[in-house]
Amino acid sequence: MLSQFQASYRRMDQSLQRLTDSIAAYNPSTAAADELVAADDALNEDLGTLIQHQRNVLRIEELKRIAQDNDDRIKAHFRAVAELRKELAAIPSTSTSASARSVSIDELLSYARFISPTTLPPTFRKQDVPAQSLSRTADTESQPHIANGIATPPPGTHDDSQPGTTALVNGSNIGTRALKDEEKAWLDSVASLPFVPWPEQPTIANGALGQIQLMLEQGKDPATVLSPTERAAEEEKRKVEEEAERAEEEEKRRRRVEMFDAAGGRKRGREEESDVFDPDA
Amino acid sequence: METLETNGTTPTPRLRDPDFYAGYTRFQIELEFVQSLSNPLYIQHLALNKYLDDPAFIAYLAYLEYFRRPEYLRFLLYPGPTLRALELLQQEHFRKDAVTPALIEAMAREGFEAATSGTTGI
Repeated sequence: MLSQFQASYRRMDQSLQRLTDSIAAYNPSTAAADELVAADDALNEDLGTLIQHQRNVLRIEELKRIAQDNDDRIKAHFRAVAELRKELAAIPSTSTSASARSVSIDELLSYARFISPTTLPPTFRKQDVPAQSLSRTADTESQPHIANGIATPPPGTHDDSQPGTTALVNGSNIGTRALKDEEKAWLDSVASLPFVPWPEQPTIANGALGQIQLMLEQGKDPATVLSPTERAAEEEKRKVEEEAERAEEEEKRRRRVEMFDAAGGRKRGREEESDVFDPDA
Repeated sequence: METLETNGTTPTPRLRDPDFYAGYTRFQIELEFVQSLSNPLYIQHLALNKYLDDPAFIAYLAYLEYFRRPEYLRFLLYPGPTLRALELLQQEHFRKDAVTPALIEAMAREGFEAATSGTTGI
């Protein structure tokens, strides 16, 4: 860079010199003037390059400074994070409610699997479910259900293709059957739901409470059913009794055998009199 | 000397095991009961038979709140409706109104909507 500058300076200098020489020799040559102008331009260009160069240098330094700053900042952040982590680890475990909140993924997944049979099936189509109303028809297959006059006219049920059945009103019977219809309607409305997220009545009836109710109705006292520990205790007692019986049996048999031998081969029929005093024995 | 009579006396009454009844453990029975509460029709059945007016029963319902705890919650097959029903049953005015069919249907609707929320057509 420097040499380039020096070359253009020298050129400038030379052309200036030549020009002044020519002027001093009363022979001003325009060529020399042009040469000077060209040299001046060249010099200006070089100056421009110099300015650019200097700017670049400054920019580089500035960027270096920024990079250094960022590095320092990152280092400081890392240090802070490390310290915070140390502090966190140093905190003694908190109350149980906080720890009870956290659930492992495995637990969560296994619980989800556990609940899935009683949760909405993925094939469910909500749009097939009728809109809400207090009384509406539920049976699509059976005979037309009598709509309660005071309720809002209901839409069709699961099938979208049965809007007509709901509009039938049997005038003569409405008065006497109104209450039953209402009851039947709300019973049906609950039963007509395609899916319910709770155990249905048959499920409940087959459960423990249902069985207990059955036992009570049959007259058996549920309290007499023994718990496993009680059952084990009973088993033990029975075993002990059986052993005692067996021991008795053994004793009796042994006694009989003894009597048999002592009597010298008497008939077995005389065994019963073995405990009667026999002066000859 | 007085001899202990082993025959002819009434056997000492066996104290009923509080955790075992009719072949089921107490936990099994309580778990079943609390989950059947999730069915609004069952609640109506209880209301119609005046169970919800019995202070002992009300206290028992309050005791059943232990199923909210995580270690017992994990046994509920129908957690949402069960806990919702339990919460409602703690309130006096709900117990009073449980006989009305409208409330029961509203509860059934609410449970159904809650279970199907988020599902649209298709």
